[in-house]
Amino acid sequence: MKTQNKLLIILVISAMIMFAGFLIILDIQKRQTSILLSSGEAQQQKILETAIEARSEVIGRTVYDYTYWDDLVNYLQAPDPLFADDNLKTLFSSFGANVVWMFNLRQESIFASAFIKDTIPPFAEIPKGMFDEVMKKKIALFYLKTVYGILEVHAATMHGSNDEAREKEAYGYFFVGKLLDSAWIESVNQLTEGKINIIEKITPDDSPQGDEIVVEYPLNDWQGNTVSWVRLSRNYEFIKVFKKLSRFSTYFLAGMVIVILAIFFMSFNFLVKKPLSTISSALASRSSTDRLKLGMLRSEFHKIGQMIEEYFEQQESLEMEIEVRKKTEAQKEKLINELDIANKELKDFAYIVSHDLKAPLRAIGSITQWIHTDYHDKLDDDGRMQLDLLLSRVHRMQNLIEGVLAYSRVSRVKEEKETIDLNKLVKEAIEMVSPPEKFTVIADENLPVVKYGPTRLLQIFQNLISNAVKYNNKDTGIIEIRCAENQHDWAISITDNGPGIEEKYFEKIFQIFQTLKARDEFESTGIGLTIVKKIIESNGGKISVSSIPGEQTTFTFTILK
Amino acid sequence: MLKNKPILLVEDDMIDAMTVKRALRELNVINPVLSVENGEEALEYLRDEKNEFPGIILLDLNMPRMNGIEFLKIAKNDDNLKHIPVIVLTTSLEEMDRVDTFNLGVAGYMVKPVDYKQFVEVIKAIKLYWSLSELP
Repeated sequence: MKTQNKLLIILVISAMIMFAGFLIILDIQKRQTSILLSSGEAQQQKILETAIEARSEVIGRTVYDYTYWDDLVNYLQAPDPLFADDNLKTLFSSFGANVVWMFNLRQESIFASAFIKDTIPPFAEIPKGMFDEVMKKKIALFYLKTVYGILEVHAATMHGSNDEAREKEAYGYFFVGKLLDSAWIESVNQLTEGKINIIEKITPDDSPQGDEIVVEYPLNDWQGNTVSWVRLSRNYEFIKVFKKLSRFSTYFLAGMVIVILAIFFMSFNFLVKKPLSTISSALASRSSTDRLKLGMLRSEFHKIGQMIEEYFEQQESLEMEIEVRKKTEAQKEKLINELDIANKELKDFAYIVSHDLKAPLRAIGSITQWIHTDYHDKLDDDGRMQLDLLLSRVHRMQNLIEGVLAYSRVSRVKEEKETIDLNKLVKEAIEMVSPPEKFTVIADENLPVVKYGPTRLLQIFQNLISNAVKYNNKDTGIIEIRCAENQHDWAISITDNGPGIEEKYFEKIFQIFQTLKARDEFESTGIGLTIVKKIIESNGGKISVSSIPGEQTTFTFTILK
Repeated sequence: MLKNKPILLVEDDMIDAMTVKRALRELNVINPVLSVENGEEALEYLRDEKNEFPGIILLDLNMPRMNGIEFLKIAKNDDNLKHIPVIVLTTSLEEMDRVDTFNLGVAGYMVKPVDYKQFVEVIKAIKLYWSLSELP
């Protein structure tokens, strides 16, 4: 769920980045369009200006030329109606003028005429302020609003017919007007290849429509106030195409963004999410159908699927193993319990049996002796010998029972461990055995101090030393007690120069009631070494034997440090 | 033995009882030997006022109904009986038994040997002990 949220966030972020890119591209397009438009506007502005100025230049130059004309100056001083009508009208109407004025320096009208049918000459007044402006500039262009429309007025001061005279004082004022009529509009239309309109004001509603570029040219009066505007509207096919193109590219881009996102999302869904959910559901449910789907994954997920399958198999086998182990463990525990009980029963059994066996045995022994004493006279030698044999077997039986009791005591009775100086203990053991004079017992000096049950340890040494004494067949007996230090324990060895033991009997000598000689030949219960072994092993040690038959025997046992 | 007081023998094994009596006879001990088979019978005898108090009790440990340890626990808590010296005569070689009985205030602890001659030696030691120690 969390991962999915994260992925959704990533998706949204990438969508936002793409959208931002899209907006940037859109903005660039807009800018490009506006640059294109403004460059188009500038161009068109130029065209409009050129066209208007070209039209007015024709009259303007004529006015300038004619103000040098002496005849006009003369006319100013002595007006001749005929001259004016014939010449001025013909002259100025020929290049398109609609109205002509002439004034003397006192600003008194000398001549005024209009060349348009049905109009009242001069149909427009020259405002007073204009005279001063013309006198200042010597030549000027103004626009006037009239009842017939906007009048283009070319004005100049009048001078004699040489350049020198122009620099000097003027003789009067000369004005030529041209109405910006439909003919004018038509001619400008032709020059600009667009559509001309004369408008009074520019309002925001006049913004260009569709594919046209619109520019305006201001028409100013002598004071610099704009009287009207000439508007040029022109259709440009390339704008249309460009707009279409940009619109198309916008849609294309938007579409691309959506398609890319969709592809991204779908491919993510298909390539990542689906296999992942297959894997996770298989991991969660572990059902065989889900696991079958793991095998059908592709590419890297196939490997992962295989690995998971392997993991599942391993786990299953492990679980089975654990199950088996648990069972075995339980069985083991049960067995151990049973064994414990059996062991305890055996211990008690050995003790009770041996203990109870002793009473009748004692009775047999006593009565045998009483018969021996009381009926001595009535028995012959044979009978007495048989009674002796019976008594000796009673003794042997008793020894065996005592042996079993001693053996069972090792595990039955626990002895507290104490710190024991082996030097002292060995000495004590030797004294207890009290070997005959022919024996020399050599013990290492500086034997270690160990932790052991004192009685048990004494039992070990006593047994081993007494064995060495008991079985010795040499004229002089030598017993050596040595100690070697190992990492975790001490190794004590007791070597004698007795008859030695053949290797095949090494195991047998430690078994209970096993002796290497017939009992009648050598009275032994065969319990001593068994007890020694049991004590050593129950204290975490080991006992071993090595021998050179006929020469010597070494018993080595270990005591944990 | 001293004062000719009877000896109370608490022993379930007939042959063991015979052995004790024979050994005493062999050692010329003329004191009467009163033989009972277990702790209960011994207590019964001791608490019967008609019976003469024994000079010593020879006590076996392993007996039916009431064993020697149980008998000792009762007898040594009985003001009338606790002064009677008790010598344990047993088959047991166990350290535990020995410690237990000495804790219960026995005068001696003898292990019955299988050999009759050794048995006689043990009884001789008891006789010697009895002869030397002053009894109440």
